[in-house]
Amino acid sequence: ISTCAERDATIQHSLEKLLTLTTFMSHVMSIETAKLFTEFNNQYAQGKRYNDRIPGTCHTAFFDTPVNKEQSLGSDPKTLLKLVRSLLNSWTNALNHLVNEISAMQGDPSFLFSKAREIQAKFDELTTGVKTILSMIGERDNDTHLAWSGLSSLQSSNEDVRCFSFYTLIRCLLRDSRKVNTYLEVIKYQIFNQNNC
Amino acid sequence: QSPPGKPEIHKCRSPDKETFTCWWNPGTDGGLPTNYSLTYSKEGEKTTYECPDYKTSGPNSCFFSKQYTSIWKIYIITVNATNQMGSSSSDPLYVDVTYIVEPEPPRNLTLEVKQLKDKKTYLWVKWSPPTITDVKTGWFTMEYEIRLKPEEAEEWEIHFTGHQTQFKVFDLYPGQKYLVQTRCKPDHGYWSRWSQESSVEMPNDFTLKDTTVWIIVAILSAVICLIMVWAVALKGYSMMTCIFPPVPGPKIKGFDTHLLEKGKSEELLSALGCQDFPPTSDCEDLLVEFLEVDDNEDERLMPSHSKEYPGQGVKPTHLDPDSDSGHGSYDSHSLLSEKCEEPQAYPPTLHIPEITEKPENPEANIPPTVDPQSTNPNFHVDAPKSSTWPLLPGQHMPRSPYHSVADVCKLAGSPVNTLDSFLDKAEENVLKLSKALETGEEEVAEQKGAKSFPSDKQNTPWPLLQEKSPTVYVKPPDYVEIHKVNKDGVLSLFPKQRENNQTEKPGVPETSKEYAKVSGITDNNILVLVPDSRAQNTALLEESAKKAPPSFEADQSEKDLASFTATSSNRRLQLGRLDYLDPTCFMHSFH
Repeated sequence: ISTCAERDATIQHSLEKLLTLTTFMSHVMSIETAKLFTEFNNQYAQGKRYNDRIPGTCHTAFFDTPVNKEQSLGSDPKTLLKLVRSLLNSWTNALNHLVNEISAMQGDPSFLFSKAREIQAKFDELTTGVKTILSMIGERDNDTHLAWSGLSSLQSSNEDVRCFSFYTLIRCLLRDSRKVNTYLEVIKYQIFNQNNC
Repeated sequence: QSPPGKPEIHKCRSPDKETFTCWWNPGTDGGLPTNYSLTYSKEGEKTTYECPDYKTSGPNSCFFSKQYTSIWKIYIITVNATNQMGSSSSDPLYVDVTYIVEPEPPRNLTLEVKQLKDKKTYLWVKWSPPTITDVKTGWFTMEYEIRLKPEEAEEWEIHFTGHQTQFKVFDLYPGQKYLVQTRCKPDHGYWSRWSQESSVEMPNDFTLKDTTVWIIVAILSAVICLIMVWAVALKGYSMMTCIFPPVPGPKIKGFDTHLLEKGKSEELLSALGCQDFPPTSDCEDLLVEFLEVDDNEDERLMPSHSKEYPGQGVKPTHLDPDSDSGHGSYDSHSLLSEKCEEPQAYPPTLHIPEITEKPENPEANIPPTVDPQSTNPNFHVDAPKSSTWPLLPGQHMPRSPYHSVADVCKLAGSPVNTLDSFLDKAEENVLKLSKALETGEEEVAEQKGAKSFPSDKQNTPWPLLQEKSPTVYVKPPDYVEIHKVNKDGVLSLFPKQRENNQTEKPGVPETSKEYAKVSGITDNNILVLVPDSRAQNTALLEESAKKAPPSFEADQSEKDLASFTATSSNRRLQLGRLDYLDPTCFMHSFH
């Protein structure tokens, strides 16, 4: 109700434009992350059958997120937006470490390095967009996030441990980028197509 | 008989991102009936579950409905085989549902041949997303591809279309049959299968019609252009023929001759006109001037003077008689000079004959009236001259006696009474003579005299003298002639005739003859004319002194000598006729 009360013509128009742009950016980001994941598997994980191992746990898995369509569409758009903000905030530190450590990988990690930096920039922009949308609907800023604690694994002298850590981190990044994209699409549908107000 | 072989999980797929199915391949059964079971556990959970549905997806499969499907969580799936001899398990499979999405192909593929405004045809391909995927709510985002090829070709032509569900294909061959298919893929899953083929044949007639239309237009335009060029060429030739014939043909000759004739005539006319008008005008002017100058110089001079100078025009009329009078004045000068000498020589004798002659004058008056009647032709010849002479003396006579009397008084100093009586008689005689001679002329003279008299009375004597002096100089010769005629009828007539002859002859003899006649008159008139002669002499002397320089005087003396020679002959004749001429001869001898 508070969200509906905050609406007017100007905010409605600006909000629609901003949300459309943010959604598109998240789409591009997820595609780029998928490319990073594929390239990493081709260059460092071939023959290691990481897919046959119990995957590592993502540091963002502890957020209580909707796990299916019913739960997602049944959530309040404001709640979903705050969840998206938390996810994005949780990756700020992790991406910094990913970019720094991936350049130290054996072989030629230049492609992975540039792609990782590109993804990092897009995450920053996306974070700013989501925060702006939240302020437009009257939600004050909140720096809720979960810390990432896998740095020791990324810096391990054991190559297998180190490599699997990168595999897990990038896989989690891809999953969360797709979550963000799906949640933003649902939010856009709820705000402009479904007259909950 | 042995335990069952190790089974293998084939694949897991989710068509809608809400449910998913896994399939496995069984191993060897060991010769005994074998049972297969699928167990799974979720990421972050310790509990192990068994497959919720072994039937929906067919044999050797397990279907996870929405209830048992979680997105963004990893499923750890394992398949177990069991028989009487023992059991075996497959390798575990880690599944994230978002990674295993494979949608159904798109549906409702439609092909439509369309045409733009510029008559360009294209193929419009349309389709719809698969039914079971919820693209509307944003839970699913789909990307599409289409492929097409001519029916006989082997290779497909693929076009990526993004999120849109329609596509336009240009530059297809007319008359060809094309096959078209489409497929889709979620943002994070696998491509679907290709949809069923749709086919369409591009309209050959339409394109052919277009090309044929254009070809026909081009051909027609070309034909029209050729026809126009041909027509123009023909017209050009016809024009040329119109132009050429005049040159070689007879018509051309005719035209040439006519044109030449016309040209010549026009040139002649124009030339004549150009030449004639200015020259004719110039010639006329020249001729007029020439004719006038040659034939009537005198007349031209007169009218020119009159037109240009009216006053001067009037003056020349006076001047002409003045010139004649000038000659007369010279003669009068000589005569007057002679008269001056005469009275100075014999004053007393002259006075006496004057008194005696006066009563004779009326007698002489009657005969002249009779004589003219008898001799008509002579009088006719003399009439104009006589008319002039009497008029002048009529005017001069009344004035001259007064002047003479005044002069006599001054010079002689005689008593006033006697002079008055003489003056009265003289006046009466003068009046009578004038009346007897000519009545008309007398009237004119009287009028003039009447006018003169009042002026004389009003004016003082000195001004009168000054005014009358020129008239006095002119009067003497006329008066002298008249007296002669009056006194001596016969003698007077003869001198007149002689005068006529003399007038025809040079002027010098005229002057001499007049002097002789005057001498006769002077005998009668000596008493009367002596004072006139004196006064005239004095006036003449003054005028001569003023006007005549020494050279003129010399010339006059020469002329006088010539006149004397001529007059000598005349005097001889006169001596034979008249006694009174003798004294005049003496006077001449004195000169």
